[in-house]
Amino acid sequence: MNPVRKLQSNFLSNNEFNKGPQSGLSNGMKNNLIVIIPAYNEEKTIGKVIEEVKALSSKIIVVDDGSADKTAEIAKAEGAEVISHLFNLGLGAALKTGFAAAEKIGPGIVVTMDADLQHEAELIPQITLPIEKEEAEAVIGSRLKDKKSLPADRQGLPAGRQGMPLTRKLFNQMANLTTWFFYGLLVSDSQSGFRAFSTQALGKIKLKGLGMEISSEIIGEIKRNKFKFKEIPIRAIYTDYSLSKGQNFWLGVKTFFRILIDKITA
Amino acid sequence: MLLIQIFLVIIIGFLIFELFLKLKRKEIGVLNFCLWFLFWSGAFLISLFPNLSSSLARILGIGRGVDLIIYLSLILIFYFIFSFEVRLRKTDQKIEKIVRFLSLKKDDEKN
Repeated sequence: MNPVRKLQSNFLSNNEFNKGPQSGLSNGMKNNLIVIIPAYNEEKTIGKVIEEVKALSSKIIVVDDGSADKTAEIAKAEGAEVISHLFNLGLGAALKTGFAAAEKIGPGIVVTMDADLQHEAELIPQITLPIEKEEAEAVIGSRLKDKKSLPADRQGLPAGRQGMPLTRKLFNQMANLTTWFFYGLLVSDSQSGFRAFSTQALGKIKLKGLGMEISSEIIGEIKRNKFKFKEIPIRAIYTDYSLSKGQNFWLGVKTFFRILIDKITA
Repeated sequence: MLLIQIFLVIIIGFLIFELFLKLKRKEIGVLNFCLWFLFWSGAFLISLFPNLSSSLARILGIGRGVDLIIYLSLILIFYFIFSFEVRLRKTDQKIEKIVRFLSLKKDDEKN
């Protein structure tokens, strides 16, 4: 048995959601399950991410956002569809390209994931289940939500990995408040990159941002379109590598002003 | 007349001259021209007669003429930064559309 499959079945067997109808995947992939991974210079981790996701999805789209390293080559070799930007535009632009490509494929579920291994591929069924059961049109995997509903073996952290550092937690709460202030929806992890949407919902989402502001904007679109929405707790798994990337305080300030300008000029 | 006044009058006079040239070459619109002309002619007058700014400041309840000029300049500069930021953002979005179009086209051709 494929180790990922094995983990998945272990995980699902002690998962409360498992009592509902079976996922589309176990029904022979009736639904398209497209995983979009925006990546910028992630050659160290992208291969592993794709390897983990492969068995759990029907298609993987890696949006290579102008990487200077071997991100695109590795992703291609692992069997993902790679769409490359001519040069680096930012997270928002990469996600939107992924969404545009996914919409062409047809109805189904679209999952977004980070390329730095901070998200657990085995949680994909958990993230997509509310959409399959039509309990939600949009799902956000929350690193800060109460983890009690996670299976016991997933509440801690794997050896050698670290949880979200305190400064990050604080920063994320500030980002949540900012998102709430601008978009009127208070969520527990507005900056999470682990999300799922029905393609129908995706078709209604209108996004402007090119950079990190996209995460807050997506929350805003969930509110504007009145999507049925769920937050599913996930573990935040950090390595020194993933901590060296992603948001930091000044980027946060910049993001804040971008949202402000977008709001004023909207 | 102070030396600084002579410098300012020459520089601003040159800028106003250039403004007329730009209008003639149709590089700027009439409205834009009028706004800039008002601004620079105001600066020209104040350079020639510095007391003008002091009396204007007193009317507005600001202590010194220089303060008034600094306040106005700051407002103007902030406005420009803001409008540049907005324009930059719009340009970014246009570039983004082009890049996305090319990327998706290339992807379509592959399949």
